[in-house]
Amino acid sequence: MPDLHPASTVHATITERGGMLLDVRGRGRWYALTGSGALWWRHLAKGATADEAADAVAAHFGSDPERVRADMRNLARELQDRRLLHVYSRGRWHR
Amino acid sequence: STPETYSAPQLFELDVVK
Repeated sequence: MPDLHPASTVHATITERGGMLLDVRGRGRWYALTGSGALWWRHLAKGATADEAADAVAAHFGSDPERVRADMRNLARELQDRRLLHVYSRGRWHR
Repeated sequence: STPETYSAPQLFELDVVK
């Protein structure tokens, strides 16, 4: 999974039970994340890679890491489609 | 406030816009 980071326009409130995301682009949109996704988002926001975050979620719940990684890949696609997550790209100079 | 069991994450877009 590519490295991902939350969009700068997204403000998140994360609890152990879930999370709320407010995307202030345009007219503003609210999203709700269930518990495992919210925990994954929290790790991502702290700088973990997508897979590291998924592994942390798996450890928290005592779940199969491969299953959690697959689930988080699906979630990442949804979040990227809504422009709430971006692929992290290291800056390069082009001539 | 019992260990939680894992469930796949879900994302909901709320039907509110101030």
